[in-house]
Parts: sequence; C-alpha cells; structure tokens
Amino acid sequence: MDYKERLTQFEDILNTKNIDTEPTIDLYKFRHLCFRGIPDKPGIRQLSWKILLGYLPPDKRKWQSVLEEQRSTYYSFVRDLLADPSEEELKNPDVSSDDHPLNSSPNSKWAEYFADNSILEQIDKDVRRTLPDLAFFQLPVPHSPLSPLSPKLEAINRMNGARSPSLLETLDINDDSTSISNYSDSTLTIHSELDAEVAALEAQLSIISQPSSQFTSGNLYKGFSSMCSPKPIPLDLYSNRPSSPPPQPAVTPIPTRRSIFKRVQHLNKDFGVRGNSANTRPCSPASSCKSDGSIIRDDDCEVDLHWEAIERILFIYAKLNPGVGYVQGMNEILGPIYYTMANDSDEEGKAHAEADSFFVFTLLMSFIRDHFVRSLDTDEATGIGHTMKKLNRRLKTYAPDLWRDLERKSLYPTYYSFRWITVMLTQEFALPDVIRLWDSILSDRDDDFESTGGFEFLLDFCCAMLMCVKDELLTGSFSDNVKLLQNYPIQDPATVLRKAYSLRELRLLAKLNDEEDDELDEYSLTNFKGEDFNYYSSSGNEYYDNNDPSPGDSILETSGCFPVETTNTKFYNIRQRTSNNNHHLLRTQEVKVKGLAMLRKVQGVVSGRTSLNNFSTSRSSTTTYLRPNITKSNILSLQSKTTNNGLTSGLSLPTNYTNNKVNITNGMSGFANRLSNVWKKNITYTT
Amino acid sequence: MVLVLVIGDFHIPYRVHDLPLKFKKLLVPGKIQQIICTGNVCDKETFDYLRTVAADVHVVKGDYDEFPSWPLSKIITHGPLRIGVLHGHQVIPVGDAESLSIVARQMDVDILLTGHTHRFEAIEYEGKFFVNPGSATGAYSGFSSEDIKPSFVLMDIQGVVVVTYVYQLVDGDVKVDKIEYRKNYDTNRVL
Repeated sequence: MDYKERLTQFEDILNTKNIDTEPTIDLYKFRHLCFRGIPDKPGIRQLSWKILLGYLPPDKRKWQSVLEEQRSTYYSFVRDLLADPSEEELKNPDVSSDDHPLNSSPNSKWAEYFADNSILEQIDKDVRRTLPDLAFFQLPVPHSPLSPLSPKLEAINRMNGARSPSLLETLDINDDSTSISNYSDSTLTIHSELDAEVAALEAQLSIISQPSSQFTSGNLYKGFSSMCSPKPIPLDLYSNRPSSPPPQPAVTPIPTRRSIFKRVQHLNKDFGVRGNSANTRPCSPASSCKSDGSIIRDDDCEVDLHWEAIERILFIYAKLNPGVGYVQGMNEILGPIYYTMANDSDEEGKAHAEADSFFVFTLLMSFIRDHFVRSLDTDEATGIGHTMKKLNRRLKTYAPDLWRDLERKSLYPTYYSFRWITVMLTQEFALPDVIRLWDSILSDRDDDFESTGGFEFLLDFCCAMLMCVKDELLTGSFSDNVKLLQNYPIQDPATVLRKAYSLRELRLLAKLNDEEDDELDEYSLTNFKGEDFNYYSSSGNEYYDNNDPSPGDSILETSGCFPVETTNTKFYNIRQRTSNNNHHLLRTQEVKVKGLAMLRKVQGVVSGRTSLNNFSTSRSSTTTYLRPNITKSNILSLQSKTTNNGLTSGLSLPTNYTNNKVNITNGMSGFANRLSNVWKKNITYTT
Repeated sequence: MVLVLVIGDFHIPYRVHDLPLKFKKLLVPGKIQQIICTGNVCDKETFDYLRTVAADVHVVKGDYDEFPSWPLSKIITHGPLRIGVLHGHQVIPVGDAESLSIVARQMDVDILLTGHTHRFEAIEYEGKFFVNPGSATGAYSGFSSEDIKPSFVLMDIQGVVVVTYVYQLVDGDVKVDKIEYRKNYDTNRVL
C-alpha cells in the first residue's frame, strides 16, 4: 500500500465529518493500519495515538465530550494538587486548623507538602535533562487563549503597548507545519523568534509598568470580559486582527500552576535555564501589593517552558499514583508523548497538549507500570524481571544459537534489555525514529494479556535488534557485547523493523496454532525454580533421558507393573499432523488428563483386563504387539521411539518442527500416532 | 513561601543545659529555609546545632554571647519586606513598645525581631510588626518574676504577608498559635 493510499485511509478513519454515517472506528482494522506506521501529516499521529491507547473512544460522536471532561479533570488536578498549604491558610483565615509547618503527623498538609518536595526534587532533576539534544523542551509553551495553563493574553497585551498585531498572531498561531520530518527546522526557528520577542517585550514593559500598575492590579486576572477596562490599547489590537477568534469565554488561569517550580528553585540557584528568574519579572513588585487580600504571584504572567509542563505532569501523576510514584525513566516515556501532542496542528489540541499528554501517559503507564515497581522486579508473573525472561525465551525460540552463545557468556538480559524495555526504546534511537517505532508498538497491544500488559511487538523488536547484530555478538567477548548492546550501533531502525515484522509473523502464526512456546504455564514454572535467569539449557532431545521418568511410567505404576518414581511435573505435548501440514501442540493439562485416561484404557487392553468396545475388533492385533514385549526396557524404548515421533517436550524449538515424521504406521509409534488421532478427533479405532 | 525560624535566648550552658526535647523533635532539618537568632546563644555547640537545622543562619550578638564577631543588629530583606534583628539589651526600657518603635524607624524596617525579655510577644504597632520569640529554653531572666515558658516563632513569608506560628511549651505540651501580619503600602508616603 503506498503512502498516499494509506494517508487517505487514515484521513477517512479519523475525520469527524462523516460522523453520522460511520461513527465508530473499527479498532482492529485501525490498529493494523497503524502498525505499518502513521503518516507524518500534521494532526494524524496525535489523534491516532489517542485512539490507540484508549483515550479517545472508537465512537467519534463522543470525542468532544470525552476531551472536555478529561481536560477539565486535569485542570482541577493542577488546581488542587499543586496548592501550597501556606496559601490555603491565607485564603481561609477564619478556618482554624491546627496545622503548622513543623507538623509531622501524617494528615498534616504541611507534612505532605514536605514529603512531596522530595519527589519533586527528583522529578525536577530528571526532567531538566530530558532529551537534552532537542531544543524543543527548553522552549516556551506557546501562548493560547484556550488553555487555563497559559498566562492571560491581557498580560501580554499590556506588555504589548506599541507592538503591531502581527506579534499576537505569531504568538497564537504557531507553526502548523510541524511534522517529524522538519521538527528540527520549524520548531527552532519559530520558537526562537517567539523567544526573542518575549524578551523584547519585557524590556518594554519595565518602562510601562510603573504608571500602569495601579490599573492593572485591580483588573489583572479577571478573564476576557474585563477587556473593556480602561485600557484602550488591547481593544485596538483585537479589532485589528481579522483572523483572531472572537473573545473566548473566560478561561480563568490556574494560579497554582507554577507553584512547584518555586519549591525547587533552590536546587538550581546557580545555573538555571531560565535566565531571568521570578524576581526580575516585570509584573512583580507593584502587582503584589493588592489591597483586597488576594495573593498575586509574581509569575502568573510567566510563560511555562515545555520541560516545566512535563514536570507538572509527572508530579501530578506521582501524587495520584502513590503506589508507583515517580521512577526515573518515566520522563523519557513522557517525552515523545508530550512532544507529539504539543506539535499538534489542531489549535485546540495544541492548547491542551499538557492535559492530553497526561492522560495518554497514564494510559500507557497502566500497561507498563509493573516495570517500574521495584518490589515486582523478581516477581514470577509480572514486573521487569518477568518481561526480560520472556524476551530471553523468545530469543531462544527465534535464534537458539545466539541465545546459547549469550547464555554461555552469561550475558543475561538485564545487562542490555532493561533500558530497552522500561523506557520503550527512547534511549536507543533518535526521537523521530522512536516515534515511528512507537506507532508500531502501541498498535500491537494485545488485549488478551492483562498481566503482561501487551506490547508484544516491543519484545519482538528487541529480539530483532539482537539478531541484527548477531555476527558481532557471536564473535565478540562479553565486554564487547555489553558495550555493543548498550550503544546500539544500527541507528536506522528500518532493517531491524523489517526483521521484527517477520518475527511477529512467526509469533502470530505460532499463536494461531496454539503453540505458545514462550508462555510458561504452572507446570513449567515449577521446573524453573527460584533464581533469575537460571535457564536450563535443555533442548527437546535431552528431555527424555532414561533417567527421566515420564508420565507413562506413572501409569505403569498404577497398573501395578513397574513401581517407578514419578514426577508429575514433567509434561509433554502430543504433536500431530493434520491434513494441513500444521503442527499442533495440545495444551499440556488437557493432554495429561485425556492421555492418562486413554493410556489406562490402552493398558487395560494390553493386560487384557478390560475389553473396550471400541477396540474389540483390533484387540487381537494389539495384544500380539504388546504382550510379549512388556519389559521395562521395552517400555522405555517404546517411549523413546515415540518420543522422537509422537511425544516431545513442551519447550519445542523450531528445529523440532521438522523432525516429525508423518504417517508412521508400523510399530508402536504408529499405534501411538493413531491413538493421538483418537484423542483429537474422537473417532473409533479400526485397524 | 519562605519559612523563617526566629529563636533566641538559649543561655546554654550557663542557665539551662539544653533545648526542650519536644522542641528538638519539631526542629527537623529540611523544612526551614532560614534561621534568625535574636542572640544569647552563648555556646558554639548550640550554634552548630542551629546550623544543622537550616543552612542559612543569621545571628546577632546578645549580652552573654561568646562570639565577638557577630554584629549587634542586622537587616534581612525578603522581597518587599525588611526585617530587622537586634538583641534588645541596647533598648531601654527593656521591651518597651515605643522605644522599639524608635529603633524600627531608625533601621527603617517593617518587622523588628528582638529578644532579651524571655517573653513571647507579637505586636503590631504603628504599621510595624514587633516579634519577640521569647526564650527557646525557658532560661531565667531578671526582668520577669513569673515562670518563663519556652517558646519560638516560625514565620511563613509570602510576599507582603507574614503568617507567624508561635510554638510554646505549656505544661509539657507544645501549643501552636497563628498570627497574620500584612504590610501596608502607604501610597501617600513620600519616598
């Protein structure tokens, strides 16, 4: 499918114009479409990611209401969670509370405040360093009248005195041609332009502010309705702008949005990204002396930088999810999400980028949060340890020689894949590539697996990464390999992506045939005991040593022939050829149950104790086969024969697929084969 | 939102041997940004203890202090607020509001912190705020015949508003009170 075709398909699915005819998006088809990459046309990716992660429902009619609701939820979070306890005191002087700053009791607001500060400091340190090579995060968030997180346009108006209206246009309608392909060009040029202008405005304002301070303090933050205040200038500007939207309903700014930055200001006193700190901000000294008792902050008219928005998102997430809190790495995951949302071409989307990113981030985290919980690191069923083991098993399936080599060198997945998996490859490739990879990863989310959280494609991609540098890995030593994998050499992910696609095909095919070879069930888990990465280098052939008792022995025991020790934990699969030449591996429990019953029956036949109606016609033939040959060694050889042909171990490797011989009609193996046919197809046995 | 601890008149080790335990439990490092001490710390160890609670410590010399290098008075600025500190043994009559007011006008400060009386006081007088944190240890003072209650003051400074929390040890328990002061800008004033 060529690019234009895919683009039109996307546009068809995503546009809201045909809302009456096709209100609902077919998620399966959509995911499939996204898997091959989302076109770079502005606006498409943002919507697609929101749909893929479940932020926007498939029903397009609900989009508007969902967005509004969620966004207002986020803004209420900002209002409530970022509040200072000291301001709460000031706002409610009549409400007497026993709370005081040195209070250490857990329900004290102050105690909570100080505890949050430690989280905040950690977040702050990480966030400042998010994607340092990219200028985007150090640039200011473009002003927007739609967002309550933006400083009021009035404030900028005031500063604006003699400037021409075109400035306001550039402030509001930022680059709408941002796409991944020209991210480096467009954002830098336009934002630096903006930056220069903001700086110039400040210089102007310091001249204007003194006489106008008396006017401003009263009217400063009352929404657009107060535009009819005694300031002629802003009105002129607005009337001069033909393209400006009519004054919006007052979006009241959230006063607490910047409070967290002051809390950690002390960390960065000497070096700050913000050259001009709050003290030199133009609105400060005069405006803070309001006489009616409310607090004016110095920085209410200060514009946020993008990394500050990220810090806010992470802080709110940490406060709302105390179970997982903030762990280093979350900032890396939020980076691409926020970057994508903030470069939306849709005006509204861009204005509410922070709120949308918060929810998209939360949804994404709900799938991978187990990777960040330290106590689950060694858990059997979930957590990063489990995922890394899964990766290793998958590698064993797809590239057993590589796997064996890495095992031999003791190069466990912890050494390389930890970072790959937890931050979902953001650290391995450049941002545009990461975003493309995430298109595929997010769309291959598997709904069936609740505990694993899906993202199977991520593991496929990691396997592909390993297999693409297979030669270097095989020839290098342990330290070389570690160095190689931690600085992944292939920077263009296209080749790796192709390989990952093919691996995924294999995996899906296997899944279709019920060959779940990298999902272990409880039987195998008891074999894989205890320590991490204690892998048995077992291939299928080693499974049936003479020492290993098999379930067949247990049957013999019960029938009284041979008292043999059994381990019930061994399992085996019956493989069977169907007419399609596909291999089926039955799930072990089912096999076991049915198998035991059937084998008992067979045993009965063999020993002549029971007469099976189904088997009556063939009785004589079976008995002639079996009776003279019942010795222990014979049984075992019987089993070893059947091993090779009929019964194999659970962790079957691809090489075993080819070992199966078809249509063995002679000897015990043929009998076993036909027996398995009975189990599977429930047909009566006739010779 | 700056938390400033105002404390003084320890007289350790001459009149008292240590701070009350409950106060020590309250004063954990990390919460307070600045300490202003009104004097009579009297001891290097006590001064070091203050430095562990907060990094920024301002002290003025009291009549029993052993550090000659400390100044007799200090002015600290927090945004629009000017805070003046002196021990108070220079002011006669001791603890008199009018005399302190003269000093405040001389120093041109909005808030004046003094000690020496070993008695907690927080008075707003002629638009200026006078705070006396009392004695942190409850040490003996020649000026008051009644029992001295250990006390100190924590100021939460936000712009022009100061919320003052007073911690007093009454009958073995810590009692907290809150007082608010707001600076009034006199727009008619000639600078």
